[in-house]
Order: sequence, then C-alpha cells, then structure tokens
Amino acid sequence: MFEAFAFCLTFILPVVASPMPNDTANPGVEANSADTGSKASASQPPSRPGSSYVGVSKCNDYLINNNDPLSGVQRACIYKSNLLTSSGVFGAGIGAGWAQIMKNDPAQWGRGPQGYTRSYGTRYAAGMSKATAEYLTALAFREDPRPRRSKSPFWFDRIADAALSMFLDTGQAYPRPAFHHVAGALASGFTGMAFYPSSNNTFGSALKRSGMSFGGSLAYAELYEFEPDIFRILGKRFSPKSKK
Amino acid sequence: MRNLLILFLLSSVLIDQSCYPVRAYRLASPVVTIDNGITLAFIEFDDNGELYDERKDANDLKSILERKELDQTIQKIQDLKESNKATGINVVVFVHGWKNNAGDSNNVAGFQAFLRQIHNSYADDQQRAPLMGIYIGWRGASVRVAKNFSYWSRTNAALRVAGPHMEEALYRIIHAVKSSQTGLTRSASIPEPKDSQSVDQTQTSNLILIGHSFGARVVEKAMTSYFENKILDFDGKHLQGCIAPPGSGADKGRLTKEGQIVSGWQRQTPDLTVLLNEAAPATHAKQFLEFLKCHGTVLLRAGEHFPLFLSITSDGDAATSIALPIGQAVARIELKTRAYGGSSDPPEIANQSTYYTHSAANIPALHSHELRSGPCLDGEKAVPFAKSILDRYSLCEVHYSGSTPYWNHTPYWITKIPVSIVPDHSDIFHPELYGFLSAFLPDKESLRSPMNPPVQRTRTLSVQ
Repeated sequence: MFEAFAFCLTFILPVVASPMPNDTANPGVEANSADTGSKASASQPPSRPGSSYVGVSKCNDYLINNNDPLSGVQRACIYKSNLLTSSGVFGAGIGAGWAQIMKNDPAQWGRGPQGYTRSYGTRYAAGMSKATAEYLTALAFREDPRPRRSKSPFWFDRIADAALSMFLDTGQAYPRPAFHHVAGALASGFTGMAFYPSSNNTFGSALKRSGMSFGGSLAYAELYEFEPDIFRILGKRFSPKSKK
Repeated sequence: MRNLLILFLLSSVLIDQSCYPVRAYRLASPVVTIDNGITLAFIEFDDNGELYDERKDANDLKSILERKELDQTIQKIQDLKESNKATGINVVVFVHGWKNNAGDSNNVAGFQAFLRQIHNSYADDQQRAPLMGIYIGWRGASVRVAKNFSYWSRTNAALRVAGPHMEEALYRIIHAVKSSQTGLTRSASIPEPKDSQSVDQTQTSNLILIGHSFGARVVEKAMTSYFENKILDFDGKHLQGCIAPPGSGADKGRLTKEGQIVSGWQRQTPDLTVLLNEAAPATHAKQFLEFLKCHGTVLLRAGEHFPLFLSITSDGDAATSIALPIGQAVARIELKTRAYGGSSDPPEIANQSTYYTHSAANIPALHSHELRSGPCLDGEKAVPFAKSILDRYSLCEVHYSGSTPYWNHTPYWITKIPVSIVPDHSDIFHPELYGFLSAFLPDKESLRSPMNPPVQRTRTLSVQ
C-alpha cells in the first residue's frame, strides 16, 4: 500500500500532471520549466500593460518570475511544480534513510525496505501537504508566493529581509502580513499524524515537525538570498590562479 | 509476469514523457509580429544540427524541399530593409543554451521582453529603425527530469549544432543585414526582388549576435571560422606567418601604427558578438586568441578599440564556474592533454587540461578587461565608450601587477560581470544586461545618419 503510494507520488503523478507536448499548429503551450524554478527577481522587467508574448504559455517560467501579478493559472503552475521538486524527491529519500539507519525512527516500521518506503512516502506526503497549504493560503489571502531578493547591499539587512519574507509579502505595493509559509509548515507537520504510529502521533511531535519544516523554508529563503554570492565565492575557488 | 508487463509499460510511458521530442516548434509560422511592430523570427535545428526542411507543397512529394524558417527569415530581413532604406534595420540574433528550446522555453519569453527593452530605449526616436529579433533554437532541453545529468549529452549536441547548417544560417543573416546587396544566397523558392539593385548602398543596418551558455559555444565555434577567414583574406595575410608568434613576446608592445582601413568590414561582420555566460571549454578560445595575437589583429570603432567577441560571464554563474569544471573533468577521461613545459603562454597556464576544464571567462589569465565599480585603478585605461556603464561601472583594460603588459589585448574581450547585472547562469534578460550592452551599441544619432556608418572598422598591425 505504502510502496504503491510512494511510487505514485514520485513517478506517476508528475507525468500525469505534465501537459502533453504541443503541436506546431498551436505552438507555445508545452511546459518547459528550464532551470530557474519558481523564483522571482526584484529586477525583472515588468511587462507593460497590454504587452503580449507570442508562442509561450502562461506557465512559462519567465512570465511567472517577473513582477507582474500572478494569475490563477500561474499560481496553479507554481503549485504543480512544487509537487515535484528535486529537493522534495531527494530530501525525502535522504531524510527517510537517515531516520531509518541512524535513529530507527519510528521503530515500529523497522529498518527494512518496507519501513524505508513508508517513511519515504510519509515525508513526501508531508511535502505535498506543505505545497498544497501554501498554495491555498496564498490564493485565499492573495499573497504572492514568489521569493524575492533583498534590494539592500548590506548583508545584515539581507539576512533580515530573507527572514522577514517568511512573514511578510513584499510582492505587493506595500508589504503586508503573509501566512502561507506558516500554514505550509503546520500542514507539513500535522500531515504525519495520518501516517505515523501512535508514539510519533502526539501534538508535540507534530508541532516539532512543523517547526523543522518552517526552519527548512527559512533556510531556503536565506540560501536563495545569498545564492549568487555563494556561487561567486565558490566559483573563484575553482578558477586557476592568476598573477593579477 | 503481469507485474513485469505493468512495470515495462509504466517505464515506457515515463521515459517517453520525460524526454522532449525532436521536432520543430515554429515551422508553421516562423516569422511573427509581437507588439510595437517588433518582428520575431525562429530558426530551428535538430539534434544533429540540421535545419528542418519542408516540402513546398505538402501534397506533392516531388516538390522542392525548402528551409522554410531560414528562408522566411532572410526574406523578412530583405523586406524590412527594402521598406526602410532611410533608417536601415536593427537585428538581434539570440542562440539559446542548455535546458531551453524554441517551444515554451523561458528564453523565448525572456527574449521577447529583451526586444521590448531595446525598442523602448528608442521609443522617443521618431525615426527609429524597425527592430527584428531572431531566435535560434536547438534541442538544448532534452529531458524534463534530472536535467543536470544532460550536461554531457547537450554539450555534444551544441558541437553538432555548430555545423555547416548553423554557419550557413548565421552567414546568410549577416550578409542579409549588413550587405548592401540583397542576401548572399537565395533559395529557389524565394523570388528575387524585382529591383535588387535599387537597394540603398549606404544604408546602415545593425546586427547584434548573442549566444548564451551552450549557445555561446555554438556562436563561438561558428563565428571563429568566419572571422579567421576575414582576417586571413585581408591583405594576403594567409601568405604570411605570425608577426607575433605565441610566446615570443613580440605581441606585447602597444599599438603604435595604424594600418589601412579595411573598407567593407562593416558590411561583413556583426556589430557586436556577445558570448554570455559561455559554457564551453576555453580550448577553442585559447586557439583563437593565439590566432588574433599572431596576426596582430585589432578592431577599431570610431578610433577606439572594439571587440570582435565580447565574452561576459556573471560572478554568480555557478554553471560555468563550478559545474563545468566538474563536468569537463569527467569528460577529460577520454582526452589526452599535454603540459606546455617552457612554452606556456600565458605563463600561468602550464597544461592544456586547464583550458579543457574551465571556460575562458573563468581563467583570469585570459581576461582582457575588468568591470570596476567606480573609476579604473591608477595606471589602467578605461574603455572610452564604457566609462559609465549603468552610471556606476567602468570597463578597464587589465594590467598585470608591475610593468608586465596584459596578455590578452586582442579584440576577443573577456571579462566577468557582477551579479547586479546578471545574477546567475540562467536569469539573464534583465534591464541591467541591456544597460551594459547598450554601451557597445550605436547611439541614436548614428542610427539617424545613414551616410555616417555607426561602425567603422579598421584593422591595424601591431608594430613593436
């Protein structure tokens, strides 16, 4: 049961959810997410009202990631892409492996393949719940779920801005409270109550899982903020030495 | 048995759906008009680097095969030139890179936004020339999942794409835009203009060629041959040896004497060729740099040094600074490299493997310029037309410490750009990028003055 569930989550659902390739008579509706993920840049040019893009779908990553307000279709596209992410697939796998090997947690599931699969499925389901709760909350409160980089050049401000983005929606004309991150973390933590054995099924352990999920979102926000700088520094380590 | 069959069927569906098909996305309507009257054309290549052909008459198998996308693009260029003799036209060619194609790729949307930025910058100009963008597509995206593992497959595809068909496409575009005649070669399916001789001989159309990521590798490979031919053709240089053999030090002197003006260069080369976040080993660049140094080639525009290639890479580009060295280190298993011994030039690079495992922009010894925040350092020379890029950056010629002149003083300019202009490898179409490139573009006055070509090219010889 759990094996089938994990298999479906990992492989079948994303394939079914993916649009079919377009034909030449109707170009531009094939989903090609390229490699930018669902991130937005503060300096992306806003398209002018009335401007149209020829041969690209509304779910095109460039259109999603610019500063234009999100349409309902685009919100759904972000949600769909968040259901299957590399970090989701591999994160659940690594997390389940770590729990099995290092902590034998939960002990009732055992350390074999079956226990691993159940643990994997549970973690992936938690990730999907998080994506779903974030999507629905952002939709209900008209929040902008796209991450944004700080405009400040000072690193302390940037750390603070990334942390504040967990509670503030800066994608509006004026910053306003955002609830989708908190809702996603809570959904992620409490989803486990449907799967975990009773020893892990307390309110406290669910809250703990929510806290860890929220911490993961916070870490991602900080990583996203400093990603270009991290790669700049790492890139120099890979460069051959120069006399300059 | 039943389970195996189900597993086989599921696997087949999974594999089929996780791959992008080999097909043209824009064959039905390769030339379209987006808002503001900007023309957008698509030219696509398959995984083997071939243009997509189509029967002129789909119902007649004996009808001629036509290269519909390329032919219609060339025809559109000629039509625009014909109807805008006074102003000429502005053409921007973009060759996309890894994880993109000509379908619903984010580069397709980004390129359209980029064209609008260019158009808007000339919005107050009543006499502005029409703008045309040409998106060159290939199978840069092959899989939908585990895309990073397609590195080796796509880098090889980029090499295949930079073949004779790509060269033909680029050269025809160059000649169609820059030549005063109407096109270099014409398909039998496209009729000759009735009054081809009436095309204004002095019109000044501008061509910008941009290659990104693996697309920059395509552009570099295709255009290097073109430039080499032009340089060797000039003044019988193909009969001469190096005036500055590599490692001799003879090329390190500053230019002191100008050679003769090469008439017609402005009609035969792009006005600007940009390699943006180039994802290619520096092997090719190193050889071309040596060629340029060997023949003492210098490109001047309005009396100032100007790049034949402008290779710019973001400081935040992890794909070329981290992933490419790792990917190339794996690919290097099947390659034998040699140590240069005492003949290494530049002296810092002692082994060929360094060129094979790094892109040119990630080898500081190959840099020709530095983009500095604020003015250039003491002793550095600022590029005159790029003294105030985005109101805060200066482009400065690189100098080694002490009195040693910089190694790369060729027209193959190589530099890094800060994350404030291009934040990473893929996120490229920003107003800041256009702001940076605009320093290299002809100004509005030049565009309005067809009798005064904006790009005057001179080839000079390096004399000690």
